[in-house]
Amino acid sequence: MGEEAKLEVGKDLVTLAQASRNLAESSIGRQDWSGLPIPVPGLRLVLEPRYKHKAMENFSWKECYDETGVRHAIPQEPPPQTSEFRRVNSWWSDRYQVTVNVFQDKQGRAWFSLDKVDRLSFALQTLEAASAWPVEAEQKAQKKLASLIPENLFELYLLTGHFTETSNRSQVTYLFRKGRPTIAMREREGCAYWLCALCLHPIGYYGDTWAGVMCPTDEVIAHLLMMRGSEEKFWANANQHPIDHPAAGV
Amino acid sequence: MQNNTETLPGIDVLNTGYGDFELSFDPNKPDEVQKAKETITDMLKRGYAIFVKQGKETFRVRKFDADKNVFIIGSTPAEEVPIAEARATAVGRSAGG
Repeated sequence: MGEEAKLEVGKDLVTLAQASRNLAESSIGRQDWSGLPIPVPGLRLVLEPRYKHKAMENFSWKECYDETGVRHAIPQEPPPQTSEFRRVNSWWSDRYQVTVNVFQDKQGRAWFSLDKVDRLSFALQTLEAASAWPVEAEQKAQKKLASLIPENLFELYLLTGHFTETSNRSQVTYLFRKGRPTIAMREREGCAYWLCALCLHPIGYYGDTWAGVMCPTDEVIAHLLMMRGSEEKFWANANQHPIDHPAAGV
Repeated sequence: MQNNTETLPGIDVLNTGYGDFELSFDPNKPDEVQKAKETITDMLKRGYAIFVKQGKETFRVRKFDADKNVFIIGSTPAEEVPIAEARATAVGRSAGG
């Protein structure tokens, strides 16, 4: 108890966003140029398979402190049980708006389950992930974005969180969105037809959210530069969600 | 290399804590140029995508020629961008989503 009383809020006890900033500062010297992802309690951290700190996916916070410095234990999820079922296939059914999973048991019999993803839970969990983003990082990223797109488009982005750009190479129009996947569309005879939602997060993301480990405008910059500089790689590296899938964020 | 010096050439790295982390170097200081070359080589080795602007277009860097100090963006000599003239942006490997 005496030891806890010495902990100072803002210095010894920091928010997730402050921890992100502190880790980024200390990691530059170790050549972790992108900073370090911060695990958020209750959210599943998914990292790029070859990322050198991939093991951070398994980290879970054991305790936290409130604004007055009082410690609280964070309930831990029980370790996953080994299942006798093996998932052999899954797909999105746009007709029923569910993900269909097919499993096989040890006897080789097939089973199926239906996963209904709640769009509202995506939005609410994204809000939780936002606790890991320093506001200063988002402001800095917006300044960078302003240097990459025309002033009128940046104003549109500030007002709506969206802007479009058409690729000279493919004539595909991209709707870049703050905190949501980029929508690829093709215009024909005055009408815009959607192709898919392109979801791409540098380094990592939080499962079942639209949030990456970087602040939202950094991800918009990554999408924009990949589209401009390496459109085929953008399509190859991004997950292509059907537009009506909750992950598409439409 | 120096931080937060926008007028100098260098690389802005998209970063979890900073938004983007600015690495700049003075092309007239050999030690800073050497450090920049090592950083670019290290980033490409780690799978970072580096983008540079040439004219009005943005290109992804394919290779880095440490002897000539140029980013290679294509297969002809015209498709080289000297690091001393570029303000590049680097993005870490993608985890999909």
